[in-house]
Amino acid sequence: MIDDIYAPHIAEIKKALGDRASEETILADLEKLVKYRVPVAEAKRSIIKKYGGTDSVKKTLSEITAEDRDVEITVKVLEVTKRDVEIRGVSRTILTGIVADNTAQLPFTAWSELDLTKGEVVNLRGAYVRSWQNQIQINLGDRCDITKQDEAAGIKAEIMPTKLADVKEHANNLHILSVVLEANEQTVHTKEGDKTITSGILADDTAKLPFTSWVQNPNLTKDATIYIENAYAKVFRGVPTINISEQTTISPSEKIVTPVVKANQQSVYDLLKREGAIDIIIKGNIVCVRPGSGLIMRCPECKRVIQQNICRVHGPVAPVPDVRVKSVIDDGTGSLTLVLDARLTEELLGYSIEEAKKMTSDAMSSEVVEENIREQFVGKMVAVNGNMSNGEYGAILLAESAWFPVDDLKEEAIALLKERGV
Amino acid sequence: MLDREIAWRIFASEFNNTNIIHTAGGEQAPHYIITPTGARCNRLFAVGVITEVENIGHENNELWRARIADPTGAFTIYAGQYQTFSSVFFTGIKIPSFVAVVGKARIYEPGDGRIYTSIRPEELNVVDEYSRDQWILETAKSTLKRIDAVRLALNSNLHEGEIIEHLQSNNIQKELAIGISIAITQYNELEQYLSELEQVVYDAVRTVLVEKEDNVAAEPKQEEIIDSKEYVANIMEMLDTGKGAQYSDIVDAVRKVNITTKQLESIIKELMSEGRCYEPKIGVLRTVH
Ligand SMILES: [Zn+2]
Repeated sequence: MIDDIYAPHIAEIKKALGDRASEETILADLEKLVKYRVPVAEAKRSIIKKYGGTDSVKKTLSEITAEDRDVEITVKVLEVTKRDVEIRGVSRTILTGIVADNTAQLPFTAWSELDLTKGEVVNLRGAYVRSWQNQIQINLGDRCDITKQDEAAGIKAEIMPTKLADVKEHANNLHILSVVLEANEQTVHTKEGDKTITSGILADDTAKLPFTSWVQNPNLTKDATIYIENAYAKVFRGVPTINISEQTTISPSEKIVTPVVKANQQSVYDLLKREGAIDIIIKGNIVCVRPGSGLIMRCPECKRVIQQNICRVHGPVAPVPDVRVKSVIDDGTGSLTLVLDARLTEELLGYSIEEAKKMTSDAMSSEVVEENIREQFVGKMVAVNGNMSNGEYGAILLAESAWFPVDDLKEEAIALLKERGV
Repeated sequence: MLDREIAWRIFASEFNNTNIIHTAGGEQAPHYIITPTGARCNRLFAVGVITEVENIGHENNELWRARIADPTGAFTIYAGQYQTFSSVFFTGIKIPSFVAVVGKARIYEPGDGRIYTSIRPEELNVVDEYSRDQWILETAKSTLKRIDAVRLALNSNLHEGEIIEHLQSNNIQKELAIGISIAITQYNELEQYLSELEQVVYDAVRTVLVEKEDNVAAEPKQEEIIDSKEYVANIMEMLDTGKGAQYSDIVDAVRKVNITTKQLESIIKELMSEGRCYEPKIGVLRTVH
């Protein structure tokens, strides 16, 4: 029966139009368009348009994917902040914030000053979705249809604080429950004169991240457990940094947070989900020592690595010798570039700058140190504590300390067999 | 930025039981092997004892074949003319000794139904016994993790697409989830094989508990060169591919047999004074025929 073929399409159109058209009307229109060999998808669109609907698909926030272009959602506005931005040279006021329903919470950006107030429940039609650095974001353009819902009925959403391990670059309206591990005041020179900022380290049970506060706040003291509302994240030296501004509120919290005080060991796979991290431990094998390791020469001005005593920027210079290791560490779940500076190269592998220079001149080969490092290092298991940045040059682990783990392997073997019950 | 392929930890026994090649589209796309436990592997890292080295190539077209044994079997290594570092390595290597290899997984099917797996090395290095034992434990842990994950997939009775999601929601990383979804449809009697492999893994772990014989543990680097001078002369000739041998390469090659740089220098002086070699330019040496 013809009705059967059209039934799912009619249902979909009906869903978009509500009471604006009857099923009979829709069927008649659809049949007509199909007779004219209009593709069904196009026919559906034009019927919805004709009766004043948008072809928004109704979804809950947890159902939204990065591919959604036009959705209808009913959400509570948990947070909304006005922001003045420049878009292609034109100043505009936009809104950023967080919306939630009973299934999830998502950040949003409204590209004009829409009528949205914190705490109210709204039905939004014609919202679209953007995905940035794996973070789904609701976007509301001028086309967006806002219907205020009378009652906050059904939506009991409250803001869920973001875990520090999940903080992404450029995240806005961040709410964070954490412990202040370190807080130091310092004076910086800005265009508007000297300013006192507070910087330090925050920790929750997932990670540690640095923070910078552009305002002074009595709650930002060492060991305090605080609830931060409306902070934003910016990448500084390769690591997402929590930025606290005038729009941020900080209040003391009674909640118990067990911060990761010690560096925590994790798999490379888990680490690579993050854009940057401080004070983490990775244990893996060195699977490659890259060229450019060993004795290198740097420009005395800009510290760039140079060849033949010529800096790309500063021309002929008197080179400054340095020693480093650029390698790849792999733990079977993923890999990242591991860099050891001169101090660690000497500590771990025994080559000081002086020794490296001597070896090089003795052997009459500029690669002899690199070759020696390769022989000592490739295949070895090494544990590294340091900071990871994950940018356009890939993931890089800058070691603060590194060591060759010495475990009782027999004990480990016994424990493994016991764990498996054999 | 393209992600670097993971170096999988796989025992030789499982590696040699692998017979699936998987290409993710396109001629340029990397080739993967899918092991019975679902490791979707393009690169692997292994540590074992080198037991055989042979140059099976022709004069100007080197092809090295080596075997590196772990407690479960042996990896076959093939290194051709494009892996120049391996020729220096294999020339100087003492058998047996502990060796680490990072390389690409290869499958060769001669067309008679047989399947050969091998590794094309990217890195080769001499390591110690402790590193070997560390590798056994790490490889045991990751293999058991994969065995558990395959069982989870088998018991779920889900379709291929759903299995990937199911495994990921159980904290199994995507690469492995994809591999497992393929492995369970392509390998026959997988459950039986997993039980066998599990026992093989336990036996491998038990080898770490065995008391070491002192002579094996103590010596990997000590080799007695009967005649250091002849050894150096040989190395020099071997490394000379027409433009002379790089001094640094010679230093490298002889270090493996415990000739120090100092000794090497006096040997070279001796060879020079005997008119057996000369230095056409600084850092380069040639033998006189
Ligand atoms: Zn410079």
